[in-house]
Amino acid sequence: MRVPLTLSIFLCAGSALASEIREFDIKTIERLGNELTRVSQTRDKGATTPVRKRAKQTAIAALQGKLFNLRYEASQGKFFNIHYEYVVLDDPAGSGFLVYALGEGARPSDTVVHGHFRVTVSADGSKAERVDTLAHSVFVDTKESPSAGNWNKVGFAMNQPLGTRPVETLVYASNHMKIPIAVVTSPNRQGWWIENGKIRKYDR
Amino acid sequence: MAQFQLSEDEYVRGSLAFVLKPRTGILLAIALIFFVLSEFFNGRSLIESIGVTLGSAVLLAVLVYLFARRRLRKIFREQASLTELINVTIDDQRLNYSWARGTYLLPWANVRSGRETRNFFILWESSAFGRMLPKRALSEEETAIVRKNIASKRRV
Repeated sequence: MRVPLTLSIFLCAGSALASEIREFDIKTIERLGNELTRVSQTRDKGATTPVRKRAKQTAIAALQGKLFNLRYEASQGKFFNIHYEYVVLDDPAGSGFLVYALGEGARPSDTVVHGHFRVTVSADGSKAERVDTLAHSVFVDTKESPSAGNWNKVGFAMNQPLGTRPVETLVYASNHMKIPIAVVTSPNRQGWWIENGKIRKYDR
Repeated sequence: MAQFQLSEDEYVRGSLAFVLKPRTGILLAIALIFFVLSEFFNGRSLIESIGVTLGSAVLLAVLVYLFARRRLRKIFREQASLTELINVTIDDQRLNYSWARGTYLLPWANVRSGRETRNFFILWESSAFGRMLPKRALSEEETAIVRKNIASKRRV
């Protein structure tokens, strides 16, 4: 009796971890990440129709007070004038939309690697069905950084405390930085390698 | 604002502090008790059982410590970014690490747990990922803010 009970507790814990954020399969994550890269560079950022514009406004309202409040650090001589841009994509699992709040650095070359949000919005654009915080913290990568010693930056390594697969915004970040990202998803301690818009597993 | 640059010794000490959690110590103690009992029920006297188990455990611990320290020193020398100068801004809302390559912001609300050792504050963002903050770099006010915020978190 004890073994099945313990097993069921572990299974429940596993499903609780898995459902912390909405997750997609790897192919869909790759596609969403690459679409984010493409659509975020357009003028309307995916808000091309009245319904999609409404979806964007719904997401903005849903994220009120939830976004990371980044700030200017005058004392460090650095400018963190970071704001969020909203990008609207089709929801791959339904007829609604995914609206991303993508953090952006002060300079176009800065990349907010993590610290983004995702809102699942209904097909008519009026209802925010789910808000997913895609990170617990924010990291802004500065491209014009000096090399340390004789070393140059060729990749980015990080930990993702949410979910069991990399979030699609990491594909976007890797594309933006033009370097690979190695990420470990904490809940299942799985390593992933993101490069050129593709994700693959690696074993430690 | 605090500013620090990790030395090799500090990196080794901080990394070991990550691993040596009270929970790990308790689990090892339980394992040792089982070893002692196993030896005892296999015909050794109680004193012999304790002696053999503790002797083996100490020998193993020393070997692991020396091997881990050697590995950590190698990592520190190979990874130049570990020696970068880091600025940390601490207030009641968040910690903000910044260095030449970027900026990292962590709200206290998302610090999962924290621990204070003799030389460091260890802050865990998840069960597998944490950051060390050398106490020597912090002012009294910053130390008080960190203590207050980790006191409300689960201890590791």
